[in-house]
Amino acid sequence: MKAVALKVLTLCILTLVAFSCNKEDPGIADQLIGKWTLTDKTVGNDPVILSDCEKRSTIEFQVNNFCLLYDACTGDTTNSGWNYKYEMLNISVHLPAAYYIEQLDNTDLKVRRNDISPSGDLQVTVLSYSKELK
Amino acid sequence: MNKLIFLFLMFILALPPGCEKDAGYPDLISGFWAQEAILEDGTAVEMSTCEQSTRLLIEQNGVYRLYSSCDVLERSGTWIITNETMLDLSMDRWNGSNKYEPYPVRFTIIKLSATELEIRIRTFIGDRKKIVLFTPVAQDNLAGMTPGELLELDRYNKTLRTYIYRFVKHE
Repeated sequence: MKAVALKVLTLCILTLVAFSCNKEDPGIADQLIGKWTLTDKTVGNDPVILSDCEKRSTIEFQVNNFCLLYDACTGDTTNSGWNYKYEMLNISVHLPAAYYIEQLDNTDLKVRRNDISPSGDLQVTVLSYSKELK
Repeated sequence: MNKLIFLFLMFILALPPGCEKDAGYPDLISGFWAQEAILEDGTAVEMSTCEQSTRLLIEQNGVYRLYSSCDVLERSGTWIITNETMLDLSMDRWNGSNKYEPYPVRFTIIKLSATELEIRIRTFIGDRKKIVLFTPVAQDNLAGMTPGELLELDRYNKTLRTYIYRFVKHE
């Protein structure tokens, strides 16, 4: 009898776990951790020629939802928060704009961002990064 | 044993249906919307060039951005759909003095599809002037008004109106 009760209890716990909700994706958040260097940029469908200093600009995602944005052209580093929620990468200093992740693996990150142009059209910017390997 | 199995099955049936999205509304409402029509108490309003230029960019993280050609800046706020029938937006409201401040505004969703969004709000004319719905309008200029004119304006601003805003999605 006790063994049966234990089995039922185990099944109940497993069912609760299966039904649990999670709007965040810890897998993607974990893959983002690290320092990424800007390699490519397109606005609309037009490639943007990056300067040498822009190609040395980085974004570093840390495990505590803290990130560092380094602008190699000015030498400034901006502190920011970040999270990945509702399938969007949110970087607090860039809000209200946020990013859709188009590609993410161990070496490459591609994100897409929507903006409204000064003439009122939808403007899509795609940024590509490569990961700095330690 | 049979009782235990029965209890377990009842437990399963009693569980909420897991992690379903709220009827897919975040997917439907996210996108780039162009203002197509404005109705005031059921009558279509002739939209100004500025109103025709109004664009609403709604993103699935609960943030939206608002553009109008005559507006001095792009506005932004948060959105959430509640009870599958209400769209709550934080919008800019003139504080009567020197700036716009965030203000919660609730719309009733009349229609929401992959291409059309229609929302309704019943509010005072005075509030419509203060809130950027979805285009800013000129604030009342009280300079030089007589007491009688001020009273008349106040009565007018306290008139209720039903506004319907219709948007179409642009790809």
